[in-house]
Amino acid sequence: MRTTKAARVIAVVALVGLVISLTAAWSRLDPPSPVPEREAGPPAVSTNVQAPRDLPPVAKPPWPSETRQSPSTGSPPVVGRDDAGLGAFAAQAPARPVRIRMASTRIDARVRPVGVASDGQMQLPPNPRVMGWYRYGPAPASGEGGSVVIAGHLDSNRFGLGPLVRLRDIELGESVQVAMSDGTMSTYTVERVQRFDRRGLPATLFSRTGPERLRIVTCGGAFDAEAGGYQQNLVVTAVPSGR
Amino acid sequence: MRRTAAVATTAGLAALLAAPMATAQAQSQGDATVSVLHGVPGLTVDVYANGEEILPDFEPGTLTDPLTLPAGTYDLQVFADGDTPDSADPAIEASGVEVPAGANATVVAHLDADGNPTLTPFVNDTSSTAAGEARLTVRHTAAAPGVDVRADGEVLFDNLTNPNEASGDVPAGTYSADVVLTGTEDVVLGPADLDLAEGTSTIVYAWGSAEEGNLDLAVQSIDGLHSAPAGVPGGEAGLAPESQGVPAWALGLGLTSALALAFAGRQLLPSRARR
Repeated sequence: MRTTKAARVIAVVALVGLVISLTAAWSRLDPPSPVPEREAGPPAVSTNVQAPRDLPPVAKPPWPSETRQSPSTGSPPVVGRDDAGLGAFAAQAPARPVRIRMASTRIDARVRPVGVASDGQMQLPPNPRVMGWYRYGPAPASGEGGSVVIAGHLDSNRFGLGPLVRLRDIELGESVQVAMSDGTMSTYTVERVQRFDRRGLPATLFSRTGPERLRIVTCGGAFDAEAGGYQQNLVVTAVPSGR
Repeated sequence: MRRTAAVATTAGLAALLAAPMATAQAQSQGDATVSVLHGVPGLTVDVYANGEEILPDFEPGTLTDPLTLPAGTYDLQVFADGDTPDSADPAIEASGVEVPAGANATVVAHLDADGNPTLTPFVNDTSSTAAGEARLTVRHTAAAPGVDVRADGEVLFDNLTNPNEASGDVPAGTYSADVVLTGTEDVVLGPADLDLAEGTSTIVYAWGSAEEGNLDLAVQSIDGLHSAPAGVPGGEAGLAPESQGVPAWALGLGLTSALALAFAGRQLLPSRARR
């Protein structure tokens, strides 16, 4: 009798275990999230990324044009002209992003301006709790459009796992807030979640023209130390809300 | 480096490219982008192209916006302010300047090494720059001997002479630039802080006359040449890999559960059979 009872308990527990494992396997094989996923593959531009081609436009001098003159008389066409002196050619320091917040995934990270590393890749702050803004590209609400790229490490040997591990859980329609150095705030709505092969990130991700987009980038996919670490990039694209 | 010779007040201006000279500008197979820089000190001028005035009251040290011109051949004449083709001879003249379709060029009115006014067309390099880099081009258009261009104290371009240019791509950033007589420490221009913006070609012209003591710098910039970074790193420790298939714990649990179920089944079924 005793063995029969014990066997029944074991049977029930085992059945529950089977159900749990099957559920886990099922959910992994067929993700419930409706986001378009793109697995490792050729570096073709995803059809979802629709930034226009980044053609080098005709030069437009950035300096002010207070010396512009109009022709004194007659018919000659008006040709703009500017002081070409060094004084008219000064660097500008527009507002930059300092913090990014995604409340739904409990991500709240400081943002630092970053450039390009010696290997030609985007430079990232070593601490995964701090994200980097690609300072050569557009800033939020700059009025010039293009892709605002903010990226961070998923983890690091020195600092461990960072909050961006939860970026995988972000859902379409959720809100992203970016605080700027001038005290203003830009709010975006998640429009797209994509995965790209790490070596096949489309250049349009960094487009400096077209409508304004926020691109939040980190790593994803399998980890293969032999092949340089994580094999994918997770790219969350968000559009300005209410603007 | 491109070397272009130009002779003032003659009709012998070299073609922008080695294309055969055409006699009319009618062949518009496309447009070209042309800017004009005035680098002759103390002379306000009117600029004519093919007999029509295009730039009245053009003052030294100014640069025009990029003009979109039909490709073709242009006769350029520069008159002292107030003079016209009917009333005077041009101060500078260049005939048969070839402007090829798609070209981006800057025509500079400047002094040659001996102090005579001349016109020199330069072709601007608008090829892409690598991510994080900026292009610096220096053009010697001053009545001065050969110079070295230094950035942050190091010689970047050496022995640059009128009317030649030197160019290179450097990491974007601000540099302290100066110009010295070749092989010496005699600073003739600068030092000046030069902000070289990423993905932008910054073209610096040395103009004026060393003898007259009015050497100066002029700057032109062409943006939109940037490229995207090669990629985004994103992690190094492998603490949060995403497996593509069934997670290991689910496999283990499933296997253990199946074994336990089989064991329990063996215990239960035979005992029932015994009754």
